Amino acid sequence: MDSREILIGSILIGIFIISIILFGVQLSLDNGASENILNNSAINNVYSSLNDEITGSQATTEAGWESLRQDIPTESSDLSLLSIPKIAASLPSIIHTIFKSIFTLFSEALGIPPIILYGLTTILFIVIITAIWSVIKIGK
Amino acid sequence: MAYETFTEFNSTGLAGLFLYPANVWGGFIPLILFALFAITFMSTFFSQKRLIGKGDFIASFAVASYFVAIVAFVMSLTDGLINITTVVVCVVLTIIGTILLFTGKDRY
Repeated sequence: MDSREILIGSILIGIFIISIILFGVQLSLDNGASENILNNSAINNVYSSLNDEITGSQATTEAGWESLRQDIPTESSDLSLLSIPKIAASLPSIIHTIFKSIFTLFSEALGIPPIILYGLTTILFIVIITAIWSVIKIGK
Repeated sequence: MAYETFTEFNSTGLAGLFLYPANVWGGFIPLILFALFAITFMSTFFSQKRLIGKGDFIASFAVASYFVAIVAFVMSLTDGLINITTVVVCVVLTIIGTILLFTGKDRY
């Protein structure tokens, strides 16, 4: 998977998770259930952090788009697009928040020991760093 | 202590059929959901294998987890049938299925 697929996949995962949670909440509200899944603190945290991050990602990518439009070619006529590193720098926050909240949910709901989550978070950081490096150096 | 009988449970309607065993043993609903997950997972996986010669493990897992999550949401509408922890575990299964679906190779 290249960095583009990782980024798009992460955002789609976030949207799907929000949709699933909202489906459950809306179903319980429409039918007058005594409690809904947002009463659970772990689910509530995941929902609010994902919602904030996906809303924020729209502003980040829009700023990247504006930056791309203002980029100008260098004197040697090579396209030196400074916006690509800027957009790449915004990737970690999106991917990190989505997966960190998911890891926290796993930890609380399934009782996974913290050491496993530390290992998974390390793998996540390595993937993010290599993805950003490939975007900046290779452009892919 | 003797188990409460169905007559003593005193619940009318179809919901009583599920509420009674769930009231006697807390593991009844998780067991039902696990059975639904296994049936859906294996039926989609093996039917695909029979039709095209290759089963898609990840897609079958995702489909089964979505189905179980929806059933858990519907069950949560009846008071006392399912606890919030079971619903959260079903949601977590769905999230795992979604992650596998979107991070798999050549998925989109």
